[in-house]
Amino acid sequence: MKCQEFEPIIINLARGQLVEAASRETALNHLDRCARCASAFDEQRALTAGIRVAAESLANQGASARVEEALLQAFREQAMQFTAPEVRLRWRRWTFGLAAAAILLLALLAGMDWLKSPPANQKRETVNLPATPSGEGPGQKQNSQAQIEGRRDQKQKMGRKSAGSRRLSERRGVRQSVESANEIATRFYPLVEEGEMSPLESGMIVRVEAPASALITLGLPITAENINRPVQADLLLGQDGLARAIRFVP
Amino acid sequence: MTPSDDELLRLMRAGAEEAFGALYHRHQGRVFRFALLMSGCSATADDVTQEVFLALLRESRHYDPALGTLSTWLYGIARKQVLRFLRRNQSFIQLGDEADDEEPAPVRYLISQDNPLNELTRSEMAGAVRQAVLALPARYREVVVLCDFQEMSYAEAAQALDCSVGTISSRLNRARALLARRLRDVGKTPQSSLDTDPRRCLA
Repeated sequence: MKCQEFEPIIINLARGQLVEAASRETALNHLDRCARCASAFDEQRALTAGIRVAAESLANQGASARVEEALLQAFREQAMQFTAPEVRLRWRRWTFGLAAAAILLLALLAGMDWLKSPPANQKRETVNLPATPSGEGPGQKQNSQAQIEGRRDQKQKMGRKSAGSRRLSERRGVRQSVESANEIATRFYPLVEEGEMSPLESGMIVRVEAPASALITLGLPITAENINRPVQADLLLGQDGLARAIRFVP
Repeated sequence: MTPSDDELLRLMRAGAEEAFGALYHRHQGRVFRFALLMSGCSATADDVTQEVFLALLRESRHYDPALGTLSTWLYGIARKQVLRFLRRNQSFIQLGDEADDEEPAPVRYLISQDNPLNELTRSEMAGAVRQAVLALPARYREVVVLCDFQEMSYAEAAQALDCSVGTISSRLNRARALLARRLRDVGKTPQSSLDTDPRRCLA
């Protein structure tokens, strides 16, 4: 074998590594005969010792405390990032739930309001009347006293209902609105027949939410997908607190 | 019973700060010393250690236990960070990765000439060995640091450096031959006192 071929074996021997017995024996025999390789072997052993001592001098070396602090801070920030979305998602679920409950409650209130308003057949009868539901119509004087008497009871009942409805709306926070010049709305549809009530001297408009199906009652068009959506409406209440007319705010 | 690296890693991913702390204390010393021996600069070694454990924090999903130990994975990251540092500072340290396999950069480039402690430093063998290691081309230096200073097996070093065991063996032989020649030329005998700490940041 040439000296060059012994070099890896010599280095492994000098490093204290395990070497195959036959190779070790051959290499040691070669070292006995070759002064150059023997010198290289001594050098490598000295180098191994030097490296060992140098490594020991570094054994206690480590990163400074600031590195650990920075890393722990980064860990905490990352942990926050992982948990924050879960918290946000939980809050979002709560928010959606509360919003849905609020909408349902409002729709329920509006539905009750609508049920307490005058019967639908009366509205149908008056749907094409002019927008001003108050005042004495020309035919009022032609009404017989019997008709007036016959409707008095009904009127009193309706009056009680409408007043109750108004109180209910006010109690449940239904917002009263002032008619805005910029707001787009339908015309007022009368809810009572002409001459059925005392003339309108003063009134109040109350904003309520009603189910969209209320539009059908008045013969207004509505698409199937919107039938369950609440619509906003303004109720015109007379000085006696009775609902006289309604209009819808799209 | 001491938990394994993989167990600590699982706990760390679940958000246990203690597990991350345990992994840090278990591995930071070796990573730091590897970076220190490779760069010759304790500030750089600090930075590299920080980057390595940040990678553990943020990219531990890239670690595959089937491909090697956590330790070798961390060394792999440390090596990339150190090589990035060395590339950035080529004007200060002659790396000789491309052409000068024959001879490492002279030690005089690595020791400030105006340092009055130079003579004392050179008289300390540990310092001389470390300076000679620093003067090796990076690809030989990393093998000496892993196999001789950190006492890794050839197989582990091959995983950390992403090369074959044969490459590790041949590079180590070459590196040690260069080291021996360097120390002989400087006139130091490795048997001398080696308890010096000649850290000096050259970056």
